Amino acid sequence: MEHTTDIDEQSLINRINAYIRSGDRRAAAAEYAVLVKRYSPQVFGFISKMTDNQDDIKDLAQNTFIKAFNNLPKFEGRASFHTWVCRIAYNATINHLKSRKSIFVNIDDTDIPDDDPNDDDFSTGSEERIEQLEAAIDLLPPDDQMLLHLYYYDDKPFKEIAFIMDSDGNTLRVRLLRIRRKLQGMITAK
Amino acid sequence: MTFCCLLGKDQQKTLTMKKQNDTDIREALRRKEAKRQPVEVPDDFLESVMNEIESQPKSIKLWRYVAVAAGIALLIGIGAVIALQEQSTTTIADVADISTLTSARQAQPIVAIDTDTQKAELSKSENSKPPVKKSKQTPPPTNEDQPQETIIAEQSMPNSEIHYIAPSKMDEAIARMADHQHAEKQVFECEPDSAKDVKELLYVFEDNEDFDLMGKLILSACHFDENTSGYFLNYSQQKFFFCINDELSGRTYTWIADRMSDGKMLLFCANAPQEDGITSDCYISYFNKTSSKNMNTYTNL
Repeated sequence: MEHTTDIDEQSLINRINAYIRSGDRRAAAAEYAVLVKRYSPQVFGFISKMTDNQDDIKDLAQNTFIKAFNNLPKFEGRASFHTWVCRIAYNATINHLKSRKSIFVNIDDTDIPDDDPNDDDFSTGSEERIEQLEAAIDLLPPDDQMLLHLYYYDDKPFKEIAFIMDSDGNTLRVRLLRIRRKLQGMITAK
Repeated sequence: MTFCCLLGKDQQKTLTMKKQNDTDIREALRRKEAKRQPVEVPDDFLESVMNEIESQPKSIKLWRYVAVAAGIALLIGIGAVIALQEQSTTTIADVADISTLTSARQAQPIVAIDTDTQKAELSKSENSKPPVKKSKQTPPPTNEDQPQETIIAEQSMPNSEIHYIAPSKMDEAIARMADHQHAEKQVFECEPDSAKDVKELLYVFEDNEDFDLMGKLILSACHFDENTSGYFLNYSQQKFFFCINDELSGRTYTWIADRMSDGKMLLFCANAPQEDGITSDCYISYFNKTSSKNMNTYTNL
């Protein structure tokens, strides 16, 4: 995980906070524009993993950056600014999807095999298996898809994923195991 | 890991789970990502974020408002307490002068009244018209069981204890109140008879409910023993009249206060030798003149 933000970025954040404290909101916004420009593509991409509605993506991204600005004094630098913003984006998107009553398939409601998949069950290289997995992943809830994406596609460590998803590492590990079992069951059923 | 045995089977497995290759899942996700249309950041996105940030009101923590309000309330409360203390201090100081004298046991010359002599005195003055109407005259005690006492014109009687308040103390207290309240001292148009040792003063106070001059005068008068020679007290909402004789100094004292319609209070203080008496003609003349002037002022509006 980008454990700490780089020095230049931290200096920029410190300047922005100083302007906020002094009440010069305009100057703070002008400095903050640098961060918005830098991380807009990543935030848009991140949100698009959970929803493909373009209008929603734009609104959620805007809300994310505004919330990040308002909470910038609370940013402690324990994670990178990018990771911190992704956490805000994740929470905003999940809350938005829940408010719109998007279908969240509770993984516990489906049949999950008792046996854990072997390490090789998902490393077959089979075209059929891969295509089945693509279809199965689409059926998973957005937050489960996000977990898979962060772990397998972005290759992030559990510690960072836990920060973004506001959870803890062990819970996510157990959750990932259950997702794997679920995928196994969905593929086997077909 | 020593705590593995405390965990469930799943938890144990996850703790020891190495990074899953799961290449099939990785490939599936890569293909999904490739298929996803790239999300373009709108050109006006930065501007819309900046506009939204600048248009938001400056957020100030609520507790700061509460703290400021509490501080102001505290200052107002302290100011009010100090103001009240000052007022009560003035009130207490003015009345305490008299009340202190009331409680003080002073070895003062006593005026013991001889009933026979008193009767002779009364018969002498029967035909004389007192200058100030007295509705109450203090008679001497006539109880036959009481020992007959003679008038003693001595300066001291060490073994006696009497409550004596010099009426001049009331004048002194009034003078202090007038000074504190910035009351005006008025000059009479008519001059008192210079041949007589008459002292007259007229104060004009603000009729202030908080200060309550009328209440203070009544309270002061009540400190005098009503059995004192010449004691007469009469008051209402509008008028205060008090007179008393000071047998020690041989003078008679009179205080008259009137509440005026213009928010003022007149206070007439006079003392003169008992044999000369006090005439309130000058004061009455001034009062009538002031009252009619106020009346004309109001009728002309």
